[in-house]
Amino acid sequence: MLFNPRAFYRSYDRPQKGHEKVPSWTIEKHRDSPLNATRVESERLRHAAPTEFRYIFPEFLPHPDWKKRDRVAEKLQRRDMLRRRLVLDIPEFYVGSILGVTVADQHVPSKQSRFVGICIHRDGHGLRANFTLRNHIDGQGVEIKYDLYNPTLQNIEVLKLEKRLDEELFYLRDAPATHSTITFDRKPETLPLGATVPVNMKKIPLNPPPWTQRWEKREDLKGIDLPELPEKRMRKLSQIVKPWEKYDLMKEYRKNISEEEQNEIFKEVVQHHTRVEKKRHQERLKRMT
Amino acid sequence: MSLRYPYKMSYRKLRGTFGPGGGPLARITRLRMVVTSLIRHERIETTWNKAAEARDYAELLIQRAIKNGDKHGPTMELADFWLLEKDLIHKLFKVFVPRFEKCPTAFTKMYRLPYVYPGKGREMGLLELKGNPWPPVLPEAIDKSKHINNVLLNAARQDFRMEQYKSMDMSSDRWHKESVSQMSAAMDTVAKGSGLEETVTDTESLLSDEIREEKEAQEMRELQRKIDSLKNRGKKKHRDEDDDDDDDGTYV
Repeated sequence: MLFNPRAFYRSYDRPQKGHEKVPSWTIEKHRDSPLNATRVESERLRHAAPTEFRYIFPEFLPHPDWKKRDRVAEKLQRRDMLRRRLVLDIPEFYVGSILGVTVADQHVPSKQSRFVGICIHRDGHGLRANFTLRNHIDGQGVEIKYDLYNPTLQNIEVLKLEKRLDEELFYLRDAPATHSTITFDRKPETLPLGATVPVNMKKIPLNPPPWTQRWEKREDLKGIDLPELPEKRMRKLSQIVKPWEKYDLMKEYRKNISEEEQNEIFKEVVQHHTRVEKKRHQERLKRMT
Repeated sequence: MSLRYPYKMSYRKLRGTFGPGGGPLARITRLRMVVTSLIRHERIETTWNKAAEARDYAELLIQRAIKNGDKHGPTMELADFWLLEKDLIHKLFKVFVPRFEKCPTAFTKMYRLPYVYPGKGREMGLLELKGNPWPPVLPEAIDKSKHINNVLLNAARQDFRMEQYKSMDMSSDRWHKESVSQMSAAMDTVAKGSGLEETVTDTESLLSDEIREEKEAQEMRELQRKIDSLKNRGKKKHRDEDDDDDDDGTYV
């Protein structure tokens, strides 16, 4: 029989009547694939309290601006995100943690390429969630931005789980290279069970100016060790400083999602986790018998 | 912590506060003054924009105080910033927290004040905390259903509708025939008044006036419903729009 593309693609997209379920041999194949072999069940995620979820899964929270919100799209995205997390273990990490990321690359003989770096930024909501890794290789600073839910991402490994004093570390671009250099063959460091994430209180000394940004004006960044600057440059600071901003309740309220809504969203994550854990426990029992 | 009433998604700049060039510092200072006076007097009149803006801050401040209590450092600092008169910090934690602890709705209410010529040239608003000691802003609703003019009008309305119903040509309709007989019987008992004219074995006669009146009113309403349902058969019903009310317990 000749190849009929219409019939082939029709059956590919829509399973035949009576065969809507995914056959079990495909699930087994997927489970045994090398992509799953390096998956490590994150102990912290299993034992984390729901209140911590907003720090562990910040991408599940929607954009605080109401004009950019679409509840149906958000719900569908969350469902897809949880489905992806069943396949790939996306670990808990923060800005300041050291990660190793393996990506599928067709142009490389081994079809995989690995990059190690310090996470300097985390951004995006839903499936657009991304993070930026920085490293200094052969005298050249390199930053790579990865999408968390990119299907070509094969492995995300946390080599060192820690936090820094700031939520973004773009000032490393104006700091000496030693603060951004991480060796590619770095061994992962694990934290003991039940430990809180440590905060690295390091203050980074900056190179002499000119800088990419006027770091002296950023009073919210606590991790910078500012050098001596000319008086003319420091004179304008007193005009820019806004000490009342930390008491501006409505500014904070409009920038964040309210607690009630956060709880609603993370209920789905909790349900998903309990379901997944139950399933995995059953599978473990099956494998033992 | 969430605001329990509709609020603007963008903040009001309150330009021109304390003269030109004030900027955000002038805005926040003016809002502190409004919040302070609200906490002190529990009912204030000011321009609509100031009142609406300060309302958000007052609500969030009280919510924070309820959630954290008076031993929490950052909350005390916050109260110290917002309340310019420091004796009000004690009032916030000792008077308003117990008052609004269990309150599921907003703690404040706003009213639009009428434009009184010449006025300030701006819309004025009234902002008050619920449970304040002052008399209510809106007058209590007077029940005028027992006034003689309304009683007579209602009776006339009933008679007119009964006439209409009886004259409706639906002789083939079984329900119509049954309802007509039922309703005419009901109308007769209502027209007679209480059951006193009949034998005293009827328990209805032993009821007090109020209960009898309620029963009559109920029968009237059922009558009206039947008439309307038969009239409106085949017609599409329009859903009534509920009035917007803060006390509903609905919030964004």
